[in-house]
Amino acid sequence: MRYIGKKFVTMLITILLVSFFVFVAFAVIPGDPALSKLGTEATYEKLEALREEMGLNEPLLKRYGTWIVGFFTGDMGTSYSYDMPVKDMILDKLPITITLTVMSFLMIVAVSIPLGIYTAKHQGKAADKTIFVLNQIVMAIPPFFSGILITLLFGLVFKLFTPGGFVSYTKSIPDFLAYMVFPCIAVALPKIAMTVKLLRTSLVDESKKDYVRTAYSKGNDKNGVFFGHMLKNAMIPVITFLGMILADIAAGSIIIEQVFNIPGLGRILLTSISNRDYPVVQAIIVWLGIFVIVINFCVDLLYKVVDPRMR
Amino acid sequence: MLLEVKDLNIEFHDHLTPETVVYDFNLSLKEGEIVGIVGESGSGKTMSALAIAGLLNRKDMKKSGEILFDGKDLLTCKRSELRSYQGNDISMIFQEPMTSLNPVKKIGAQVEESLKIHTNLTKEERYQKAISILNDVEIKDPESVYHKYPHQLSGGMRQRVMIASAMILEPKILIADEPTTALDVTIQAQIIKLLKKLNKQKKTSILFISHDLSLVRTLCHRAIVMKQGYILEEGNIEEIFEHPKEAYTKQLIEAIPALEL
Amino acid sequence: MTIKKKPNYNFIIGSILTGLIVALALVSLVYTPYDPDAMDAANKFAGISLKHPMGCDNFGRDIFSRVMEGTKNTLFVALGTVAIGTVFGILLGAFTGYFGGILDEILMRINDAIFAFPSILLALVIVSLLGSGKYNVMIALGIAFIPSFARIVRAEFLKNRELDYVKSARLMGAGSLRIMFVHILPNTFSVLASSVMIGFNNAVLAEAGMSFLGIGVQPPDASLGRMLSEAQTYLFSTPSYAFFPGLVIILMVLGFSLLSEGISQKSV
Repeated sequence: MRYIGKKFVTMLITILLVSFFVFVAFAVIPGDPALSKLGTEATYEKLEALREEMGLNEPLLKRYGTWIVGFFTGDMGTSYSYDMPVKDMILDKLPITITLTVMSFLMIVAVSIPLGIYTAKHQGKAADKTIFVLNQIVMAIPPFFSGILITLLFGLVFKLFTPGGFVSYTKSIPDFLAYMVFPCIAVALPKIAMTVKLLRTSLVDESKKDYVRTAYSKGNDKNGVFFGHMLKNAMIPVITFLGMILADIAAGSIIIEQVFNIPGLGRILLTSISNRDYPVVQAIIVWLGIFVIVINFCVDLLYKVVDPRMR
Repeated sequence: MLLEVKDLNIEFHDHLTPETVVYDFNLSLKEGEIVGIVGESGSGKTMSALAIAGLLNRKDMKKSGEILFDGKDLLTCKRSELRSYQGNDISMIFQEPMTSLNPVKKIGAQVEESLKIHTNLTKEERYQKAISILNDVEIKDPESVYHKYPHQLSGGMRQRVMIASAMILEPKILIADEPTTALDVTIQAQIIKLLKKLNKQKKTSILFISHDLSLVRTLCHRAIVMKQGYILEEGNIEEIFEHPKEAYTKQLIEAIPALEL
Repeated sequence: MTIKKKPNYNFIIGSILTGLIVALALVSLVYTPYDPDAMDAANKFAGISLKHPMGCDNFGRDIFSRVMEGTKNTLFVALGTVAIGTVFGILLGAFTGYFGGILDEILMRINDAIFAFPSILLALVIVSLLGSGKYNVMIALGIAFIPSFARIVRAEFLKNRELDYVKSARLMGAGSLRIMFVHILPNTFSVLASSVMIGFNNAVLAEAGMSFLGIGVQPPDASLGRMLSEAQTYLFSTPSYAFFPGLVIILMVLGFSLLSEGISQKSV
């Protein structure tokens, strides 16, 4: 319990730190938001009035305080370009990006763990060698290119989905999910290859350990040793990796949304970057950051479940 | 005769030229007997022991000869048949109690694993047996140790747990590969005493592999001296110690430090 | 006794692939079959032919020439990224690893926080602050790469500072800086070499991704990522437009990753 408490406090501190860094970066570097909002209409009086109104004349720490309190109570600021609350811009896009992330992640886990076990069990055989070579190649295909290939093959040639024909979850959840399958495959492919490779290496390393010999000496068969003994040990490094992957695909979804024309968080983030719409960029980045930090926290907890030495 | 090994040869093929590590190994083991295999590292003693335990199954090696247990040749019988003996009739404990236990499984689960594999006992029955064998290996407070993980125990305790998990089905043969090498001298003596006790109580034959002649002398009835894959000499323990035939054996005996157990 | 030794296929294939790609980029400095930016309405979407081995794009530009040019740009950004990442990573890792203490504790906490952040996200933040373009992407990715290098170097320095050769150098009166950069640093090269290759691998992927999003290399400069995003519109009619830039990215990434594995295999 003390361990969890300690990790939880560390997580909160990290969230505050990260949000503070992001806030400072966006408050200091881009110049005067009041000026950029007024543009050519700026006069000295107008500028001062707007600065006062936007709270820009307050000290930095106080501004951060106001902002972070607002952030967690639902007031994430106002978009410069659209003059609407950032919250309203993000909120209905969130389910799209979350679906993309979670669905790809489930695909990765569902495919790579059985495949990793399979290759480790058939170490050195033809199937293992074939999968090894395939893995190396698939790992090198960036998701946006596999996305393009999937669009060409499954969208245009086999017509299994309509490229660009995104259906929002508000209209039809089945159609929405059906459209998301192929983007998720594109995201998942290289990560599957990496996870298979890691799990295989990890299992092969475990197979050389003394406790495996002990397990065989008790009359276990290969399956008994693999599933009863090695798998849990071999999963320890894989869990860390899967945590990193989850964070990575959340960030990588920005690109894949572009390939498949999905109006998710990534889309707004990109438009906001090119419009220099900092409140929006800032909010999305902090949200993604919090997501990453929370995942790391969960990985730490999971660790404790799997590895008793961590207790 | 409980176990008879005839002309066992073990050859490795993982190098450019095949390398023989055990030449014409012969051994017979009676019920209740403790036989020591002595030799320095590389003498082939561990390889022979692993072969008898059925744990040398690498593809890049060749084994020939016979290992007869219960009239069955363990070298040629089916894998499933071999497994039915392992942990049931023939058990093994190893040099490193630190790494020979699975770090992520509870002691209880590891001790009763053989029961799970070879018997149909219920969970409650398995628990009772595990507690009783933990008592037999003189672990204090077995109920709490049952729920612990290996890293929470000392080296000596872990070796006791290893012995408990090997002895839970009261096997006919216990193969002990340098079981005390990684432990303190005082703990060593306790483990040897324990092995002696188990041998008397449960009539288990023990194959005791060691480089330490003084331990072999206190524990074993007979001994085999090995060097570079060959058996140099064998005989009753007193005979070997009082009248060693080979110069090498004499050297080994002379090298024993004055400490007596 | 000689142990059966398998040839280091990873290293061999990796070197060949990387060599070919680098050669392609170097040649593009002095020669491309056509001017990569020259538009030719008559050759709009021209198919694969002897004159245009990869065909032409929507402006009639020679795709092969643009791929050469794009490879050069991608490699250039990757080189800059890895250079920033390694130089600052080495400095940071060396000082924190060698001296330890409070500073190490603080810097490594920050380092961990940044490390946990996906590098593409970090690069996006920096690009949104600095603006897009080749050099800004280089800086952004470079900063994003510092923590991973710093980690590796720090671990090596931590390990090495306790070793006898360092102790004896200290006894002989060598100063800290001298010990760090003359004695310890060369001993970290074998580990570093492999991670530099992984760095290239990640940099190529990240640069291509950012150019694909339109915030990397800016037109009219050719870039493999941007070519891919432009090719998407004509995917069905001219698949070769997307295929070749994508293939080159794959070969580049494959080359670096195999090379990295080959190097770590060699040093074992």
